[in-house]
Amino acid sequence: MNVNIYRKIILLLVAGIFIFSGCDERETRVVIFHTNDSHSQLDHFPALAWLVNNEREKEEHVFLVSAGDIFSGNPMVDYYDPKGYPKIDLMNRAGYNVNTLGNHEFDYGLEVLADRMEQADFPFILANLNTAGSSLAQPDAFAILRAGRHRIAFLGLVQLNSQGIPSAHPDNMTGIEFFPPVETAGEYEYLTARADAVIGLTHHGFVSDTIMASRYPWFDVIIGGHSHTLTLEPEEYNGVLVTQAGSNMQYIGKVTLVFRGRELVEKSAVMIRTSGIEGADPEIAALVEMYNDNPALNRVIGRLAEPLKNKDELGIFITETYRKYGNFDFAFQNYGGIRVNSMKGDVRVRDIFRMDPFGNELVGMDLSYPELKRLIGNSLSSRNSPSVQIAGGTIEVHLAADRTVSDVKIFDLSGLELAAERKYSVAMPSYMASAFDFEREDQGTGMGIITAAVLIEHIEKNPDIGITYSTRSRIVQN
Amino acid sequence: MKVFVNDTGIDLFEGATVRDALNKYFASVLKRGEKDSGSRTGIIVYDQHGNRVMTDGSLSEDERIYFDPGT
Repeated sequence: MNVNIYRKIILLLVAGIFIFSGCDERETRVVIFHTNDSHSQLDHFPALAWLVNNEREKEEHVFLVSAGDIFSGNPMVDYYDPKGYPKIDLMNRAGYNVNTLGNHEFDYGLEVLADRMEQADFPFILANLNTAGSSLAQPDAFAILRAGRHRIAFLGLVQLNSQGIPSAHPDNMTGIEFFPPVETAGEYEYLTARADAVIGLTHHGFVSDTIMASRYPWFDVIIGGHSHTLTLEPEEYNGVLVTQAGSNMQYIGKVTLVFRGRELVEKSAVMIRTSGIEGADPEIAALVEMYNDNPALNRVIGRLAEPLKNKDELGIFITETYRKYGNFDFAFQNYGGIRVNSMKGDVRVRDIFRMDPFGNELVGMDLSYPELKRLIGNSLSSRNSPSVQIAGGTIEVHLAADRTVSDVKIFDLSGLELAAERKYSVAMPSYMASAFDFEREDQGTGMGIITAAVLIEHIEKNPDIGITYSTRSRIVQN
Repeated sequence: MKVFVNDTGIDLFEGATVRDALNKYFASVLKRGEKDSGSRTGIIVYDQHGNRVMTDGSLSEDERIYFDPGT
């Protein structure tokens, strides 16, 4: 053996001692791009893909993750056949690594969700559920992504409402058991032994993220969703970096982790405004254009035997549909929320979104007769006529001699005035539930479905559309 | 559920968004006969930590949001 071989052996031994004694000072950077609440948004994908690919050319370890609610909010995706397909296709092509199941992931029903999860090249994760009683396969609670010799764990969590389920239609989650997210997170501290960094990829709102940070400082970062919070300057809470990127992909979050040896020594986060990204992936742009020209929106779902000639008649069709949807006693629709003046002949998906473009949710509540009177009283126009349509009964506005309103009366379908002592189940769009400020005990509950979807669902089941016209509001001069 | 807009408590249906809270807030301002704060568009809303929140963001019980009435 010559001197050079001895030198090489000594150098290898020294390097080995450094590595195994934890004195390895090599730095590794890991970049994590993140979106949340993208809600079927497609238009920002070309910029996102360009940004991520550009970074991947410069950096060795680049991830792209989603903190839930990828579906619902864009009819091009929500009414594509099959539902949600374009979103997953673009997420696959953009190179997403993991998505947490948000509440709106359940909007299409479990069968479609299972199909979309199958379509995805990335895992859907969620820790706080048990799908054993349902048709949905149990998703993994977490995903561990490898960045060279480092392992990054992402733990999925979703919010629950007061009924103990995520905010979506209960029928879409039949058989699934959910557990409180923050408490569930506490069961996963062992991830700190299995990964070099633990990231909460959550969908339960910024406030819950800060609570989680205060309880579990072993999280390194929490990337959140649900509250659509835009952390332009993300901060640490109890040593945990908490960040969230608004909604609809208007911003893309970027978290950078720096490891020295095995230790995470730096973490930082910034927001990137999507409209300011200087490039766009041309292949993705072509796909987005194709998906935006969605023939499903031109699909005929029903036919009107007789035209609906005005907002009064349109309102009857709308409110009767709301009423049937949840077997409500009464349903209401404000005329201002009906954005077309008539409808005739074939009815297409696109026509419903033209008529009802605001994305209002259907809200159900129990109201007493005095509360219903206040609702109508609050809705009167300057000419004292109700600015809402009703299903389930009729309205009388009584005027005194000086033409001020002296009383409002509501009658059921058999012509009887409502009873003061009982509660009536009532449906209305979320705009009315919030903007019509009438005193009531029950503020209501969102039904987990937008009003346009209620109408489309109904027409698809009952394609021969017709109404029985009757005057439902009248002014009585006393 | 109860949420707070500019520290004024308002009651809202469960599942309400920031937009619903603003609708209710403005409706109650008008009802009280107070001076309306003008345009509804372009309002920038913040949470209690000073982060921006988008108007389609979901709210939870006791959440506090703020906006500049001058905007």
